[in-house]
Amino acid sequence: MKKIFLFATLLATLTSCEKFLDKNPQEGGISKFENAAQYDALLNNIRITRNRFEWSNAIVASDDCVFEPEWQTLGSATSLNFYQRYEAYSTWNQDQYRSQFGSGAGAVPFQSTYSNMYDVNYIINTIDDEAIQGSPQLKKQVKAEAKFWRGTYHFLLAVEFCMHPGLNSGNNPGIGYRNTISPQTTGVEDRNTVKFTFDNIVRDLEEAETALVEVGKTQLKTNEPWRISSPAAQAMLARAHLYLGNYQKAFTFAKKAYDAYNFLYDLNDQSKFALLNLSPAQTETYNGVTYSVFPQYPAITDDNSTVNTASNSVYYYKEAYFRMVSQFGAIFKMPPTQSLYDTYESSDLRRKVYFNNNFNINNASYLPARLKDQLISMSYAKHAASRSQCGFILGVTVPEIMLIMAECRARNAGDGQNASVILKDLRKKRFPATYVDNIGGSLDEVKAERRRELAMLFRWHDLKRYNALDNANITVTKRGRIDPFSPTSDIVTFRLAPNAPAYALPILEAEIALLGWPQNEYGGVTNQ
Amino acid sequence: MYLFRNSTGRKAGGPKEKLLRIMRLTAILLSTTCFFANAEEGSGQKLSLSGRNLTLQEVFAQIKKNTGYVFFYDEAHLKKAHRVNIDMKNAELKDVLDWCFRDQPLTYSIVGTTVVVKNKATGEERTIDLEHAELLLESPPPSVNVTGKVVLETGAPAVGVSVIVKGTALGTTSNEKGEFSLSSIDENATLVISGVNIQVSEVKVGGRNALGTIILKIKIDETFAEVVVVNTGFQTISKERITGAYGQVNDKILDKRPTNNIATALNGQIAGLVADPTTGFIIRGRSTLSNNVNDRLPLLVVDGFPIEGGFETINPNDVLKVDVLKDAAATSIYGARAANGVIVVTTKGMGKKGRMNVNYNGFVSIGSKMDLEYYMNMVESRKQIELDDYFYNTFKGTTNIRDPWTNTTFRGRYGSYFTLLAERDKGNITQEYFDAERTKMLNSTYVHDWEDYILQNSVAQQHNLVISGAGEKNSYKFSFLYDNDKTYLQNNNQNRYMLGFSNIYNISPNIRYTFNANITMYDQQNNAVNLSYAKSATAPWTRMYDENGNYSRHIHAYYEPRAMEWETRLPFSMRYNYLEESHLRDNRINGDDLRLQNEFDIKIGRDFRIKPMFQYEYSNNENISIYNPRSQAVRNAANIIGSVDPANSDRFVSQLPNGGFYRYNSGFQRNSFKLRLQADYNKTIGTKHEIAAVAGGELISSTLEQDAQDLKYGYIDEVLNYALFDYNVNRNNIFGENIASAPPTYENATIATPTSFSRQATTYNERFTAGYANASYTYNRKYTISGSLRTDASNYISETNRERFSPFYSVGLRWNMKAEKFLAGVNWLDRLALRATYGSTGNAAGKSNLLPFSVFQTQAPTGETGNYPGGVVNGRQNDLLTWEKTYSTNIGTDFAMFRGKLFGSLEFYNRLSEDLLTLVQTSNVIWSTTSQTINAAKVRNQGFEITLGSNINFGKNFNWQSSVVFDNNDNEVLEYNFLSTYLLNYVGSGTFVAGLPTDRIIAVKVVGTAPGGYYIQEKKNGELVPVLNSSYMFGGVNSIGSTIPGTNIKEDDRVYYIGRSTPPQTLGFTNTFSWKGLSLMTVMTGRFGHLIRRSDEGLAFGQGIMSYSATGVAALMESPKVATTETGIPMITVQNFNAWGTNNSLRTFYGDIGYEKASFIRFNEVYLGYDFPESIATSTRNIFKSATIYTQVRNLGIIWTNNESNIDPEYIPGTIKPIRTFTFGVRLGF
Repeated sequence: MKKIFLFATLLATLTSCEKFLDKNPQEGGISKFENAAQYDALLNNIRITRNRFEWSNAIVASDDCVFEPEWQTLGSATSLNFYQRYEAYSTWNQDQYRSQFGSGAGAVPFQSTYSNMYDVNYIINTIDDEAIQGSPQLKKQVKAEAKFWRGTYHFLLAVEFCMHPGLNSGNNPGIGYRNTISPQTTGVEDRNTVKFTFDNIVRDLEEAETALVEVGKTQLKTNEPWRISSPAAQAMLARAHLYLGNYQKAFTFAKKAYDAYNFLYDLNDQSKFALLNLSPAQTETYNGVTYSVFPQYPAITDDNSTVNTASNSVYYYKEAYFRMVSQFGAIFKMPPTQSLYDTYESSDLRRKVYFNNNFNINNASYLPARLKDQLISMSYAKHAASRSQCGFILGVTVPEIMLIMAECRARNAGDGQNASVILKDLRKKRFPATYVDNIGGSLDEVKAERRRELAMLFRWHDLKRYNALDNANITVTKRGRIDPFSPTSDIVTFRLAPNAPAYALPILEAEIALLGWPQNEYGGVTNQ
Repeated sequence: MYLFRNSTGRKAGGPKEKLLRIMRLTAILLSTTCFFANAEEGSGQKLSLSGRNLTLQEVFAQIKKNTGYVFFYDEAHLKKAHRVNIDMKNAELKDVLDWCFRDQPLTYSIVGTTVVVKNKATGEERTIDLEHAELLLESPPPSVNVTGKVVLETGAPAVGVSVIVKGTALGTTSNEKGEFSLSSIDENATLVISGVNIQVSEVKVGGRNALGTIILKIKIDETFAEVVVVNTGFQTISKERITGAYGQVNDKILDKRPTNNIATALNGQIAGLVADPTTGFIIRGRSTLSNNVNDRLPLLVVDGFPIEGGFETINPNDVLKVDVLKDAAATSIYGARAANGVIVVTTKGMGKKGRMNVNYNGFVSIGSKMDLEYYMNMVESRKQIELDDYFYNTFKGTTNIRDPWTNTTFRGRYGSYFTLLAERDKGNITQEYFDAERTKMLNSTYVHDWEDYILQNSVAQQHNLVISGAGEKNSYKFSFLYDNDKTYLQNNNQNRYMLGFSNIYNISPNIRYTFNANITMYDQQNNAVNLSYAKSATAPWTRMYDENGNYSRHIHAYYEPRAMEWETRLPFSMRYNYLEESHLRDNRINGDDLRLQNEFDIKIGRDFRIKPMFQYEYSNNENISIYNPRSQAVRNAANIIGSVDPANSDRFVSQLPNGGFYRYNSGFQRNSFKLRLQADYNKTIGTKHEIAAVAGGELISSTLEQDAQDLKYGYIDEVLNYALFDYNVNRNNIFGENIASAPPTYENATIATPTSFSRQATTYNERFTAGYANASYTYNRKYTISGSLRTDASNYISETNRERFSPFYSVGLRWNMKAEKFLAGVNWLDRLALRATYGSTGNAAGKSNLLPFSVFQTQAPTGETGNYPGGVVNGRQNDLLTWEKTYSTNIGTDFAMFRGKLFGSLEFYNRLSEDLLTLVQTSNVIWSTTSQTINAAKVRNQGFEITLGSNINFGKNFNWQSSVVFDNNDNEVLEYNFLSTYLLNYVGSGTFVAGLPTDRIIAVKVVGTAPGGYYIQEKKNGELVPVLNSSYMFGGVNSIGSTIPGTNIKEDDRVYYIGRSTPPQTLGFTNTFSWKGLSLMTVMTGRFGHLIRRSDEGLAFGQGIMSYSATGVAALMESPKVATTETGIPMITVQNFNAWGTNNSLRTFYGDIGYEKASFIRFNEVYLGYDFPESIATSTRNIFKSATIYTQVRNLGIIWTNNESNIDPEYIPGTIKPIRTFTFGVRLGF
């Protein structure tokens, strides 16, 4: 009997040897996660550059950007299709969204975002394992940065694919908040509510901010723009709270961020924007000074000798608290609407440096006279990484933080004076000295300044919140063909009603099919 | 011949180190052997006995002690015997006995290992088992004398049958008339009557004196029908109690199929086991979707242990039997690795106590020469030239036939006649010269140069020596095998050595230790001409040597006249001759495989055993090529990777260092350990209850290190050294191209990618733990119920999952119907049993590409992130990853009738394979990727198997045994949800399709030809469309493109499911005829119901290639298979060029006309052997105990096929038909 007992014990030992099974099945080029340094390295690879399609739909959909139907005639055979497609996006064409978000390239926002989402969730879920070597300090910091990214990715998705949480008490569908690494998931299947999504976004960002302060990561390092410090988390929290209408919190976080970091480029500083053999078509002369398109080949890497190639300059754009770039090819540069362009005073240096001459109008004799206007030949090119690239910085910038502070002041009755002070601080770097004070501190003035400074990028996001929170009742109208792919179809005016369901763009059809999610209902677009 | 001397000596596993290792291993083996050989000597076969005045009982006791022979005698008889004096050393037992029985009133006879002592005068014998003598003393007082007579069912007297009083050692044997008598036995005794080939019966004495005639039933000779015991690798189970489906091949068949690989000998012997020369065995259809052949192979078990090495590491002469376990009841105990079935090899047993046995087995196989014309499949010169003229004139000036002199980027080769045409048009040769050369070509054929310089008769030989014996406490076996194969190609040579040693050592009466060691070493020199490349460079007029006896120039990668022009500026000649090239390289593969098995068998009590077992395996392989500096491979690379000579701008110099190339092509090292602890419980309670159970646990660890390719330039054989070469420099070739993108070619391959150099090994670690149990219970020898349970965990099933209870299980039932009363009267039926099983097994398929958890992968720093080290999470943790599972149901019956003349089994099975790993489209939200390999597909295999055997005697000496195995497998993919976007991916045997077999063939239906030379495709809706362009052939029109509008390919309008590529039915038919010592065995196999694709009907044409296949030309010009709207199939034209497929033939594109029926019956082999009768064998001065000579012919050819072209469907024209071999061999026992 004793021997049988011994046998049973031996057998149990044999088959329950956990360590034995911990061997990595494959070695060579890859390794198991064993230390916090590996996790830290993951954060070095969080790509600053986002794929080109991400966010582009939101830019094109807003009233800052329009692809006039006549632009199609500018296109070559290859670019024709591009113009047609973007005209369709510009006029909120549901079929085109369906097609883009059906498969292929349209899958990109989901692919790249959720690919990174996996990495950050991996960090958050596994770095605290006892088996992972490394100081608690480093682990805490890395985890906080990962939480920051998780909140930020969800924020970008929620703004693009969800209705504003201020509508319907936040009970419209959310984005299926993803916080695990296992394919076995609960909670994402039904998208949950947009309120649920934003609650989690804010919690992630707040936890990140707290932890980063606790570990002393409070200094923003401009030569590590992809790494997150507490000012970056505060800046992102300010943006999120502003979007949610929590102006008190938005101001608090914006102030903290601003106090920690407040670098602004001075557009009056020619040395920063000196020209590099640009053709006249790519320059504009104002007050006897010839400007390039900002910041195509800017000398803004002056304090960073390690990365000073033109194509990388955008990553080191120092006004940002963290750099996240949505990058497009030159052809993707966005044509501004008349209404946007008209908001710039002639003395506004931003009109010169944020926009680029896209075509040589003099040669475009086939264009209708109306479109020969210089305005239409311009495209928004702020943050262009190079002459052939256009990279929108999705990270929060110092001007955005200043504008958040100003807006919160302006919304606080009697605080308009303080708002005005902030706006003037910003305008000092955007206008020749004599034009700086030409502004007050009303909410409308702040909104107008915000649109000028943050043109294109946040207009869609602002339209959603103005309509939802301020009852702004803004109807967007755009010109376009009924069938943008048929050059002979009628040109009509499309209208997007305030708070229309079309403000939540359709989600990738493949995801809808695989997940069983409810698709956004879309609608509220009319034409005449 | 360029001889290999040594490797660089720098690599682990280089020849020197390998030699040392082999020496060490051999030394270990030899020392162990010596130890046991000594132990054996003390109790040798020869007998030494001395003593004076010994009683016979004393002599018998000594003999028993020394030899194990037992004596049967009547003590009364022995009392009459006188004492003996003896002094014999190393004498035969017979001599000793002869001496002792000299002058005695007694005589003796030896039956097996029993010496029966008889009364000399009467022949009366009384057998008393010496070992039970004490029982005799204690037996109750005798009270009755009985007599009786035993006869067989046929009425014939049963001679020599033993009649024993049950419970005692008292007994006797029947005489010539079948009569027996016993005196003084208990009147209530029961007599147990038994003998060879009769069923045991019992007779109650019941106080009678005369028992009368007792009829005995003849026992069926089952030795051929089925071997009584099945080895599952974990235990041996008697056939009468097994519930599962299995097939068995024993040494009686294996001995008649001499081979160097035991796998060959299984072909056609077991229903449901399909052997494929390239993919190995498939048992009961494909049950995984993994494309890795290794994932589809059955588990191979040798003497109880699954092994990592293949059949080639098993000495074919040492195999006693092979059991193929087919259903879940048989295999589920192997758990996660058993879904493809299990093949269990049992090696031959150890020596018996007594004299040492020495067996030699050797054979020589001589092959006929390769069927050259079949392989070349080449048109005659006239036709070749005719077609060349046509193609040249048709395509001249198009991109297909460019002017090689003006197209500087064009370096492609032209055939020699094409070259002639081009040179004439260019004005480089005169018309007269052209005409003369053309005439020469027309009138010459040198194809048979191949027979002189490339081919040869293959000669394979194998020698095998086995020495076995037993000592007092141990038995042993030592084997050595050498085989050598000089293939049908000159300059090839393959050697293999195997050393085997086994020993069983009885440590104590209750503890037995078994040790097996097996070493395989092999080396191959594969320096024959590269056949397929040489074929593509051969026209009928291509010769090996020119008139002056120099190597003639063969076509290589360049237009020959330009190559000759370049040569004047290059450092080396550009000449190429495939025969010369074969002499200037050294391709060698060598490796070794070691397997050590240890088993302890510890008996605890009467019924319980514990068996700790341990196996270690080591395997090493390396594949090396060395190119002589004079070889074209080196000359060409040195020429092409050249730069302008600074000293003479007209000339190039090479950038490569002087010397040859040393290329480490591939290699691996594998270490694996298997540890098992098992308990066995066997108990028989009373006469009706039998229980057999095992339970145990396993640990398996296997590490495989795979080396990447490595190339050294400037290799100098004499000093075994190579030159340093900076691989990081960007280099251009003489054409100004970067050599990274345009490396020099060599016989259709790239010799090197010289700009990068890295040799990174990848290591794969496999670890398993498992617990298992198996039990069976039999009631009254009629009803058996069996069950098994196993749970596996491994390091590639995810961390959370491994804790989950993931059982593999089986249940089985068996009903021996013949034992029931209602069948007792059915005399013609000897046996009838029904079996039913259900259970699950797993498959570790696809594991090499999967990781259960996410891992860290370093990334190169990017501009975006400065110089910071980055990393990514590689792979997506899949904690849903689980074993592929197969649920099998098997219903079978075993039967035997007409006293064993006919027997067999019938099996029906249904195998549902679930959770098969396959790439599926996944949600980014869930998986963070758009596709992932997960457990998602489902496949079903259904089928039946028939095994029939017969064993019929004609008269006294002639016997005919035959075996037919037939199986039918229906296979269907039930679920598979990855839909390809491209129709082309489905055509042929591409993407799996739910609702179709795993080996489905999908094709376009071709119904004729249209004007202009286009095929007409018929859609399912009846629409007829011409195939205008090969890229868009499936749309039938150019505009459709290749994306699929729908999702279900079965309903696609354009393509049809036309059949399967593997045979649904297979047949094996084996016959053995024996007459006295002569035996003749024939083996035939058949495969039915599948299709083959006739890729040989492609017409190679154009600038690159220069020879036309005879089949292709015939298909094109002579025998159109498609009903045509015009006459014949039109020739290719510039206009219809795009409609011709990539192989330049309408015949080989994915139309249904490219497929043909492929059923066949093949006559595999015939064996004729003669066993010398014992009298002759022993009369040869006691040299041989047994002797057999035999001859065998293999690959006799096709007997029948339903293929319309009447070709061998397994070997279409243009391939190498299996060479017919003639084998002569002997088996000798000493």
